[in-house]
Amino acid sequence: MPENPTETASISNPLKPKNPSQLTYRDVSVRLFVVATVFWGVFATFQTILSGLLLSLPSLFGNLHEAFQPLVTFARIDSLRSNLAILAFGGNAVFAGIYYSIQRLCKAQLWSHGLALLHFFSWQAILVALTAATIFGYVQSGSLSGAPLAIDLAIALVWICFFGFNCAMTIANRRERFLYVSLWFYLSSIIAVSILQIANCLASPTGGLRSEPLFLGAQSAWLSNWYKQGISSFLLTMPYVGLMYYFLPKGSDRPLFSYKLTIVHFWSLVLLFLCDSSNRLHYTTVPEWASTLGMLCGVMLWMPSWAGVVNGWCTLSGAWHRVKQDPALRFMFAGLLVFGFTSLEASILSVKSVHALIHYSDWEVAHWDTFMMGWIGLTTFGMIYWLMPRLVRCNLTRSSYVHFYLAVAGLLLTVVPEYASGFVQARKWSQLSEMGKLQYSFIETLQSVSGLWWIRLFGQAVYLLGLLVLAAKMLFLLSARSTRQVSSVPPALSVVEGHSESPVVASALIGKPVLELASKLDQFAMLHWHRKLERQPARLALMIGLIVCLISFFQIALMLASQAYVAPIGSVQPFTPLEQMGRAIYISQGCQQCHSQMVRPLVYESQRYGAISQAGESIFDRPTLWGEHRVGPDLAREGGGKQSSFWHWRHFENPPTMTKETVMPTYKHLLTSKLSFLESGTKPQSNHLQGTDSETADSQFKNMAIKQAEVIAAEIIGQGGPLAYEGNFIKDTSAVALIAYIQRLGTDLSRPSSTTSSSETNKN
Amino acid sequence: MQNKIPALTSDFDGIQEYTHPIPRWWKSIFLCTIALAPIYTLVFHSGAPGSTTVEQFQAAMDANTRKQYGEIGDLASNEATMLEYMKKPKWVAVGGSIFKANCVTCHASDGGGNVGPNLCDESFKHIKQLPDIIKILNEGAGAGAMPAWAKRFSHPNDIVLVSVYVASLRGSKPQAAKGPDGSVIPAWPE
Repeated sequence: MPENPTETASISNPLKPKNPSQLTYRDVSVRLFVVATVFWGVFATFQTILSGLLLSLPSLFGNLHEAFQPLVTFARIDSLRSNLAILAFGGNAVFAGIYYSIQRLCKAQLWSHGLALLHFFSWQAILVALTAATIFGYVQSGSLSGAPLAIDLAIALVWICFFGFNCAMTIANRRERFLYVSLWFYLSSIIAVSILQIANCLASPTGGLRSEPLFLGAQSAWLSNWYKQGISSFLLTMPYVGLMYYFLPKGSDRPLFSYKLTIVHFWSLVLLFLCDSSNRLHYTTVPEWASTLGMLCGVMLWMPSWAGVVNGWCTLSGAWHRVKQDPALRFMFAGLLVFGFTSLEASILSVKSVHALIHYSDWEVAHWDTFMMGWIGLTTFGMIYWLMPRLVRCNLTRSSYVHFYLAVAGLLLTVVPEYASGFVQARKWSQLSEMGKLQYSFIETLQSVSGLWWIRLFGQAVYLLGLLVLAAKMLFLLSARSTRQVSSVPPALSVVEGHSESPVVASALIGKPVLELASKLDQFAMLHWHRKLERQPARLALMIGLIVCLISFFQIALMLASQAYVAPIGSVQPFTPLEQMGRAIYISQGCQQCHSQMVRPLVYESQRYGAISQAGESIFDRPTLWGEHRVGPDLAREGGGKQSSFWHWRHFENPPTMTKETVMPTYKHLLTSKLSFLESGTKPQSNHLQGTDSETADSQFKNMAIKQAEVIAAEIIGQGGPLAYEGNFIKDTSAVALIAYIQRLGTDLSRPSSTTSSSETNKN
Repeated sequence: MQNKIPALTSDFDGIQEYTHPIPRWWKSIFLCTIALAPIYTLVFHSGAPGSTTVEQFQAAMDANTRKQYGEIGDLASNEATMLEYMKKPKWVAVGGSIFKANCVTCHASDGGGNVGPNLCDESFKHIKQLPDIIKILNEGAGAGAMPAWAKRFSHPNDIVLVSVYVASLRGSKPQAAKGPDGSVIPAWPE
């Protein structure tokens, strides 16, 4: 579909009168971002398939050299794939879409072409660094919020200084009086992500590439959840809604259905999106008010989310033939429908009792995949099918049909088995027998869903195939020189004069015998004030920023305040040096991807895992490792010898010897690698080492660790373990540190409440 | 009908906007979800007893305990009780479900043994008579190889019943059973 060469623009009072005939749009960076989107999309989907394979076949790379084994574990690949889906696939697509549409909507060139290129290359560098950091285990905690501090800072810098600033300057230099609704959504995304990203950088470096968050316990869990929810709302949903508002009316050639609805839509999302962040933390030890706030705001978000769907649907109604013909429109409409489904689901899942059932199960994975592959994925493909013919002059209709059916089939084949598997897990985890005892052991619940995992894998492969169709077509187009030549001549801008502001209609109630308040309200509801705001991007941005800051700070302040009321538990002690090292290994290996550490106050949960978790127990967790997904059992009460240390030793060596059907991969490399007692990136927790200078503290720290390692090693040997393993004394291995940490988990409550020294409490 | 709705006069890159009113159903549902907030807060956060999550959990736990053991009360940890309950298949099965939830990682799901000893044969490591099973469960054995379970169960009956189940395993023929550990002991009394 070729671009209309005589694209007209109606501009009222051009703010910066340049010579308009020479103006062209700067689309080079758009093209680069589109290519990057497809590349990372393929890469991320490939990683998804790899992680699925590793889950179904834990010993897939069993023959690989031990040095490489930790690089291809399910935990790390799974964390990598979700990071890449958001920042690489979603991120690049957002940049492409915004850079394309912001120029058209502002009737102005991108402010700086160089800055956009800088943005492109630095963003790709960040993604490569993030991939490496995740694969090699240099992470602070679980996925997304766990990126190393240096990468978090780089993301903040690139987002604010390269991307945000460029967009702001483009808007400032616009030749269009009003800001179209898409631009409001872009603005909110730019501002909110900046704030979220800066808040996520609040961490203290602990040497090397590692760092620890400033907050601890429930605060840390809440904050990282607030960040993750915020990023998925403001880095993905908000700009995508903006893109939808641009591409749907454009593609269907019909006016947007309701201007009023867009206003309510926008402001309700800005107000509510950051309030619902704790609805993933129901029944954990965050304060109950936070949980309730999350739930109520989550329910309230239903209609605001659907406002976009209603607006999009009604815009298209009457142009259904276009939806059939135009690949871009078809993808976008499908994406919008998925968004309608997934946002309704999100509201239902935020209800406490529903959430209690499905939390930690595959249902949440399914919800995420529907969001990512459906709403974000399909909309992105639609956008690419819109952009490609305009950037490279080509016809993509035929291959797009193939891609569309592959994408939809892939999506369904992925998420339907996942929902089924989540349902089975939720049901079997919670089912009690007639006698009030658990009906199924954990391993039985795993066995019953392993078949569904294979179907999902097939679905993901189909989805990848669709993406490859797009990638192949794109490669072909880019390698053909002639097409690129054409594209480098974007349409010139022409300016049409003589366009007046919309007339201000006074309320019919003014002068009528009604209360003054009523007529004022009526006038307010006519939204002329908003029209004024649309002329003032700085004021609009300020309002968005204020709302985001106020809502966030209000919640964070309440969080800090209610932490003061956490019942202190006298017996809760800081981690010992060796346990801290073990904890660092736990994080770096990505154990939290599959194991939660939270026994919720639910009968079946307490029966399966032990006494419920209490807020006071996690006050030395920095960050908390509550986890989000239970591929394996919960570990909150795993310590204190629930399994013997020797059992853990053999379990790490070869899990199937302990439980035949397990999906846990081998961690034999922990048994053979020597623990470096100082360089494990841990900072001594305060009350072990009081009043000592840093050098003595270091050596004291090391000595304590070595001593405890000997105790644990003696325990393993006493229980029938070996003295040395493949040439190393077992007391020198990383596995011992990890076992020390695991044996510590959840033992604080049963310890006598006194100031016993921690090394004492750790021996049996 | 749509033609009567005025479009906004601005035109963004060819996009125009209608000023259709917000659909009424949309407004009503949105207002309902907003109205839910104060109602819910009043009901669950007014400080009424039994409205917090932990209180609800305690109530559910008590109900669950009554459901499990209301019928039999607290069991004594002695030989007579064990012998009595070994004859009641219903309660042996309860012990079995406790066993399945906690013991199978070391003793295998059929009791055939893995890293822990085989519980089905005639040889036992630390056990001479029935109440020893309860003792070992409570205190652990083998320098922590067998954990102490005394504090891990929500009800003391659990220990007695799982001991009953373990005792009942003796003589069964599991697949892929581990070889004998310890020494042969006399049969359980009748």
